[in-house]
Amino acid sequence: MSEINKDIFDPLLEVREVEAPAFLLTRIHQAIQQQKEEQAWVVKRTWVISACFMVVMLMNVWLILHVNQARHTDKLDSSSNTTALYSFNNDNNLYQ
Amino acid sequence: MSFDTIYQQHADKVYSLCLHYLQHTQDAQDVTQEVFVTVHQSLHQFQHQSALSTWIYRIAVNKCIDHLRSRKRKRRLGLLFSVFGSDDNTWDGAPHFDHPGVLAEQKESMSRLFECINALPENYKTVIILSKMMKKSQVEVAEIMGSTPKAVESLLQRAKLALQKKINQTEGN
Repeated sequence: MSEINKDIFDPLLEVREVEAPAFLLTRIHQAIQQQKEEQAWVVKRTWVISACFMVVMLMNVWLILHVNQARHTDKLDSSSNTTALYSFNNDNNLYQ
Repeated sequence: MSFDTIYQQHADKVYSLCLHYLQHTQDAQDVTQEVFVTVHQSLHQFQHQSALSTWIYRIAVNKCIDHLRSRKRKRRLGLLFSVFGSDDNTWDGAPHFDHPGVLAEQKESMSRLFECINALPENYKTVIILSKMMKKSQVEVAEIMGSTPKAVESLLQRAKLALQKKINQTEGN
């Protein structure tokens, strides 16, 4: 095993540490900045989509309520007509 | 501690680790950049359960492994394209050996040695690079690899034998 260590690993121990190039820090800062901008854009887009979704949902709710109210009013109108007709008949004492 | 200070303290080590792993200057620069962007992004999540350097090394090792996997995927894709005759998308495999830390007179022999190391499984390669080239202790290597010192010792022994076998095979051909 010691022979293996000597033959194989000795050259590996001689490989020197290399200094990182000076421009790398600038590149990293640019990448971080770009990532921040992308994240801000994603957040902005999510807000816009959420807002649109909320508007559509509110419109839907308003529409349902409005249609229901209209139907309810129609029903009330027709029932009051019947009542009016009935009272007219009562007032005239048709059956007396 | 500011990000720039962290960078100044660890950049050379991370860059060297990436070079040992990838043996290509451009790729090592790209991966070092990715490592420090991740460090910047996740610094608030670092829980001080290990040393900061260990955490950064772990990120670097994972990024290098990811990079090598994507290189392999590209190579397979390149082969596929070459089979179907599309010359625009062919990719000529692994890049040439380019390690500025290797002396010029040793370049050829080291290139052959790295070729054998590259053919080993990922964990063998990692343990050789961390313990022999980065000169990390077994405890540090164990922390980086999420293992125990005993397991690292045994892994290193197996890696040595596998490398010896690989070198013998290469010399035999």
